[in-house]
Amino acid sequence: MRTYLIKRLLLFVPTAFGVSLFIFVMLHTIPGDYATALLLGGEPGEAYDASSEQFQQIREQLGLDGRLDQQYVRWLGNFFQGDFGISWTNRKPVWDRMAPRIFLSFELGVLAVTLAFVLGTVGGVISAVKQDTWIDYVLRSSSMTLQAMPGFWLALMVIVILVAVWGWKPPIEYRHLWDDPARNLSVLLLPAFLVGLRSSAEILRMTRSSVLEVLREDYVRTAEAKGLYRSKILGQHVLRNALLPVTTLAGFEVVFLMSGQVIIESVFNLHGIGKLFVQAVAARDYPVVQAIVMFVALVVLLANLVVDLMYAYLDPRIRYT
Amino acid sequence: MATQNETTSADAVRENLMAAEPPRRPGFWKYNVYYFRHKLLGTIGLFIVVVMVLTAVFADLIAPYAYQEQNYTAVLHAPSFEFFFGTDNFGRDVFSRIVHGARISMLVGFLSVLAGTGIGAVIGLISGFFMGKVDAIVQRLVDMWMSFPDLILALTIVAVFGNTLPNVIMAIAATILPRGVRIIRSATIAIRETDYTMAARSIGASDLRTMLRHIMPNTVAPFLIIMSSMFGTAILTEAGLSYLGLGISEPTPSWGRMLTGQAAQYAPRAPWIIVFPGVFITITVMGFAFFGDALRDLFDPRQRGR
Repeated sequence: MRTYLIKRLLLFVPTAFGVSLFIFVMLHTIPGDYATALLLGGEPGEAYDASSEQFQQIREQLGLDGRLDQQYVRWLGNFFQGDFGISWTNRKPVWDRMAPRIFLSFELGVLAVTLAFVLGTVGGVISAVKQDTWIDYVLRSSSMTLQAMPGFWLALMVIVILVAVWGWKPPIEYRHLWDDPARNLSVLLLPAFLVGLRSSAEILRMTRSSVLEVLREDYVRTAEAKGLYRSKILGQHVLRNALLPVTTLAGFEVVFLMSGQVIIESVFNLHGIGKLFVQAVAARDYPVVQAIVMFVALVVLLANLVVDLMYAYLDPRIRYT
Repeated sequence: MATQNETTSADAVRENLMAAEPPRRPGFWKYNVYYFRHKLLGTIGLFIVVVMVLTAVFADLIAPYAYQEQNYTAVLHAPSFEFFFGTDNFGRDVFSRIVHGARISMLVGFLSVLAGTGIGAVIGLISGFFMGKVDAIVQRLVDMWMSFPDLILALTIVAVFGNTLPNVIMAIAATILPRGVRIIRSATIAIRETDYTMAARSIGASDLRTMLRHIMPNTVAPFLIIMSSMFGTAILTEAGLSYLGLGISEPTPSWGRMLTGQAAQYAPRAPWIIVFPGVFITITVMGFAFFGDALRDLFDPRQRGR
């Protein structure tokens, strides 16, 4: 376990550096010196005096002076010290804009992942146990439909139905979980459910095929031959073996959920990181975009690390290969 | 050597057809009915794909109104014979806008999938063929690439280059590329161990020749499969970008764009504004998914029935 742990941790560091380089290069391929030109009030491509003192000052302020490699080192150094740069839209530190939103997005994500796994695994087990019955068909076809639906459309339809049929009013005011848990959940539960529901489709499919595979194993037949109760066979023999490969999906789901979250935050007008990201993209606020992409990538890498370690802990076969 | 490859794939197709055929040669109708019943989803998928492509190509002929035509005497008109899917809050015909929106969805879907899987396939082929250091580096890069959520990667690219049609296509292609690399790489690794590749190498075929003449033709099947299954994802990403207002800009109608802004406010009164575009996205994505699954079954008998 220790060698595996060390090997896996060693892989994390260069990947994180690679990702940061990737993001930096991507955001510095902006054609021309667009950003600076824009700041000076001109349109991109318009002539400006690159040697003027004011221009140099602005560059310095935005961290755009010096060679590219120097800029990169400075950006990364600052990033790990918690200094994410200055937002171009309101000239405030990027971190100050992100900080109040992180908890909301984090909570939404945790709720969504939990719901996705609960719905997906329960649905998948039912679907496999009742193979080729109407329940199985309903579950499978609805999960297939869910995967083909755009998440935002599903959310819009649900809102419209709730509003039109039950006269539901979307709760507007968001309160922090610790201040007012009931209000907080009333705001977040529906979006989390909708994001989770879409992710659960893939989990359902994988759980189903995994359970079906295990049901055909010899040890399950042996358990049946011994005369064990069906529930006991399912709980002790089938589920423990079948759900293990499903945990590997967690890494993918975290990545997939984040795309969904960006959209759902916009649909429900929740002021999370995803919404900030969309605003920053629309305003071409590069420091914010850069910081959020880096932040998201780090969360994804960390989530994958945790999933891998968990899997190795649960399944000894991984550790020793 | 090319003939050998042709026979291999032709054999696979024939074998598959034989598997789907009942014993004794059936008549035309009997065969078609049999085929249709056993490949029902695939046939439906193919049908949807064909209808959508035709809609996109002949949008000008099919749409009864121009997509930007505003009719203030018929604002928020319910679906009727005059306006099949009703009109929106500007009095624009929803059906005509959907028909024209198909054009953007198909165009963006096709070009981004082609570019993404195409470039991905070339990288995957090289990576899988040479193995070793090249492969290790490429795979680490793909890992990094895949740690960006699709929509966030696409949005970042749009932020950098602007939301014009070619840039949106490029952004979506970038999300598809790493998957293309993965799949073509594993196919390449499998094919490079086959006897005919060994034979080609032993008679002195160069790396390039082996890759182009012996390995590449055999990656066509996984290439087509991933293209059709990624098509749906591309359409969904495009719809997402448009919904956020960062896809292709107005007045070009796009399915995602039709659901954004004021559409949601009018929806409780006039649900047809948002119901139909979403239904079309869902049906199209499903069609491509079914078609992709059927292709996979056709090319890879081991996966059949899963």
